Amino acid sequence: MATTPDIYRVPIPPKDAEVLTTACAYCTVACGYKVFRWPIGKEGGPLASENALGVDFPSAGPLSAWCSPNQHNIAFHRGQPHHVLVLPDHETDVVNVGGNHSIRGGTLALKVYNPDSPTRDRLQHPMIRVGGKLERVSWDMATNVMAAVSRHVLEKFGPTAWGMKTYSYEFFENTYAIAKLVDTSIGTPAYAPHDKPGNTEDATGLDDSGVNSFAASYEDWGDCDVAFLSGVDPYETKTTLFTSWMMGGGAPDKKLIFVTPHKTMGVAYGLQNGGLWLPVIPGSDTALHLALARIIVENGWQDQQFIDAWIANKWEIESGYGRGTRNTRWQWRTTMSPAIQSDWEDYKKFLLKEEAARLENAAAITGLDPGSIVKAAEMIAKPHADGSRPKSSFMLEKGNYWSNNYMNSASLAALGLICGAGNRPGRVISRGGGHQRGGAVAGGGRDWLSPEKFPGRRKKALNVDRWVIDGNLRFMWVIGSTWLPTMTASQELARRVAELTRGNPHQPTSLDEKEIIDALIRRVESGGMVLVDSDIYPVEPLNTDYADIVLPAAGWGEHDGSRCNSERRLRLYSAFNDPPGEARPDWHAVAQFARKMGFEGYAWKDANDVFAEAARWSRTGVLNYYALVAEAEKRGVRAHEALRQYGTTGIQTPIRVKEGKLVGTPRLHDATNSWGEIEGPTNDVRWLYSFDTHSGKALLLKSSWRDFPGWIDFYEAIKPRAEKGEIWVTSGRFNEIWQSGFDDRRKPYLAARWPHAQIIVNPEDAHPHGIESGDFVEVLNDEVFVQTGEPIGVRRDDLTFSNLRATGHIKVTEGRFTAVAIVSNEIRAGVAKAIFVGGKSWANAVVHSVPDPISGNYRYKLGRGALRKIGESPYKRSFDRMSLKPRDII
Amino acid sequence: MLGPCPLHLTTFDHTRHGMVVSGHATESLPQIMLEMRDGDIFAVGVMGLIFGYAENPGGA
Repeated sequence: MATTPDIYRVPIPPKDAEVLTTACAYCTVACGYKVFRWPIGKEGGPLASENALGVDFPSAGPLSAWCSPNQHNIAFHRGQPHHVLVLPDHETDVVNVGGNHSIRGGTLALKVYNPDSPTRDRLQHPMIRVGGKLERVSWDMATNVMAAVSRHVLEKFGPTAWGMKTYSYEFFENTYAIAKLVDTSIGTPAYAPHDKPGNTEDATGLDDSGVNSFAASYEDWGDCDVAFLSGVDPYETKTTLFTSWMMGGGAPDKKLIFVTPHKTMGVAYGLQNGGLWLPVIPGSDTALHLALARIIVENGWQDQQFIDAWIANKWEIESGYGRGTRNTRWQWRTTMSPAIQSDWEDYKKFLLKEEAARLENAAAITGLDPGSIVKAAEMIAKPHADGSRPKSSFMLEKGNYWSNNYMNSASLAALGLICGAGNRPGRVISRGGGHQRGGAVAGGGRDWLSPEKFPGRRKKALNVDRWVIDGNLRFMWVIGSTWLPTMTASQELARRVAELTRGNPHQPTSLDEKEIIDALIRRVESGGMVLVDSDIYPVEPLNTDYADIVLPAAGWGEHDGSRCNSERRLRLYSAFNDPPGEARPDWHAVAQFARKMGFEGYAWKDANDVFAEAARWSRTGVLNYYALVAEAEKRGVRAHEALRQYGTTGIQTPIRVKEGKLVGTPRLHDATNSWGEIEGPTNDVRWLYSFDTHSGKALLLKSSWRDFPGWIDFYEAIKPRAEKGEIWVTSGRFNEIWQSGFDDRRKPYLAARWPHAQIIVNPEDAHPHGIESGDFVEVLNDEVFVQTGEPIGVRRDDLTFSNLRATGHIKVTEGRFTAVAIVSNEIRAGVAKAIFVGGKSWANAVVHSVPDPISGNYRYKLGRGALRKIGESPYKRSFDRMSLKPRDII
Repeated sequence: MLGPCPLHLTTFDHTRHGMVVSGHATESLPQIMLEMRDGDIFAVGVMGLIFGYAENPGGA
């Protein structure tokens, strides 16, 4: 029986093929997909009347339906082999209108489990490490061991010794179960999502300005006249948003301004169409934003009408508690001393006093030509001859906020606000998004158990990496994250995790359940850590080498799941193939463990039960889908089925009821969202139609370049050292790779494109070392700073980098990684960019583990290193692997 | 290099078997295999599936 798909022929689906709807497994855009499934041994015919696609083959023209061989696979359904075609929905009029896609989603079919293909190494059975080797055990035994050790840890050391590190996006059903366990049943502060060391916000300064990170709809990015893109090229990482909405949309002549050191295809396209490329030096964005704001204010180009209506005045700031409620992180940030929130008059004064806002200073700090800065200010704010204003929108992503986290996001928000963006069509301020939005909450939370504290204020989220390194975590359950390479000073973190697990003398030596439990309890008693990892694949070294217990997870397409994309569009992701072996969805694993612990409330029969329960808790947030579940219940229909009816169109959250019908919300903070009457289970929250602050008006935050305690001394210390021949070494995504490449390396088509981790180097930086495209280079930072101990700040400057050093809280280590060089002037000189989580190439190894003290977030983009040619890679002269060509040809 | 395709900006690398450099295509550019015989060039096959087809025409 041939289950290896042909590469020169794609079977045509018969008319009676089943069609299931879903959305992409990958980026935040979440294109809608249809899966055509039928048993092997059958086929449709080439006439439209003979096949389920309704298309005559050969199909005409580049825009009509076609299936490439990489969109076909053979999968198991109810134990029987079936053909599956995973195709973008050609009939959709949302998101990927007409069936657009990226190379990532376009090859989803290759992700599907097929034991005759590279996905054969899917994890299939729970395993426990015995005598150093992973041995297969039952789910029952694995969860027994987990429960016995957990009970001991909780009794002896308390909940702060029990932690989790999980994705924040992999379907509400899973994240709800995790949140319920972490925040209520166990009640631990030791939780970190995939991309942060602790339970913090991302674009923290944007949040505190009162702007939600996902306020926009894709339509807004199409309708703006000017898009200011801070730390992102949406073509690379949100491809369909760029090609379907930004290249055209309501304003096809729009101008694009890109702020990034890397000129990728979107940037090149933008330049060709009247846009700008501002190749900033990493970390310098705040100076750019301040300079732009100053030019705007000096010329009177601000949107004064908007400012008068929507920026909080002096009284509105000082009444109440800044942005949020008492005792929260938001509250202490926005009312901390010296106060950084200001009204318009105060903000103008600040800008005119701030040294970094002077054009010549900003140009020096950012490495930009002053003429470009002036041009950018004109583009985003200068009124036209007839007095009308350009519709400007502002996008930020990780180039902005995984850097000077708080201030970059705060200064970008302020810039957007004074240009009149934030709550109107085509005038938005939003993240572009990275992952999809699949994080549910379950109430509770134990933030106050974190020992961390910022001067003068209340608690801060616990840094779980540091907690582990300091030996305070005795039990860690990782779900769906490679953890170590995704965090800073990765090699130091990995070394310590290895020491606490494999390096501990207490190891199980037999498959006897009691002996295993005893050994692991002796481990935690001796100061070691027990590590459990749930994943779909073996992950080096996390579960191949370190984890004591490994659990096989069911993934996308193997269970019904739900989540939103970056315009809050909720869809049902239909199951269409069997998970391999005994792999189970993570909610199922969590529930089984929780029941063994004796916790109440985990008796879910299926994913729908979890989805329905989570709905209640979604009511207060932007992913509120409660009305859909309530309405389904009224109709006597399962909630998942009610959502499935929406197909790939889905519905945008928060979902409200109007005239008895469910209605989605295109845009947040939009005054037209205010309807007066509140119907049915609609949850009326003010941020639907005003900004998310105490007053409903936005806050301008004074993002000083030098005066904020916790930035400038760090920045000076981490700059590349000329005497070492160092340059900035930043990292990021590339279009053809999703995350760690866990799927891509198993898709022959994409594995051929990127068989090895890459680093883009400017010729000026490459030539002195004799580095050519295709060479292996080693990047070394021999002074990687790692913050140690628990930061408990009392006086204002306690948590500045200088002070942490002086008080012995900064350890110095070294970090290095190897990658294949691509020498191109698509990257600005003085900066090299590596793939951010590249197999064994850990770009974060050269990044300092010293978080932004206000937000607690890592500054991933600010690595440095000296480059050295090691030799030639096999890809230098390959015929069919790894193109070394530049990405910006237009 | 070939491209970018004006619709979705994909570029292709001739020196690497028609693979995508940057872009959207779910297959490398199909390539016509050529053979030299006595000074003449013959097209003898196709590597890859031609866009729009479920199977290459003429059993190529």
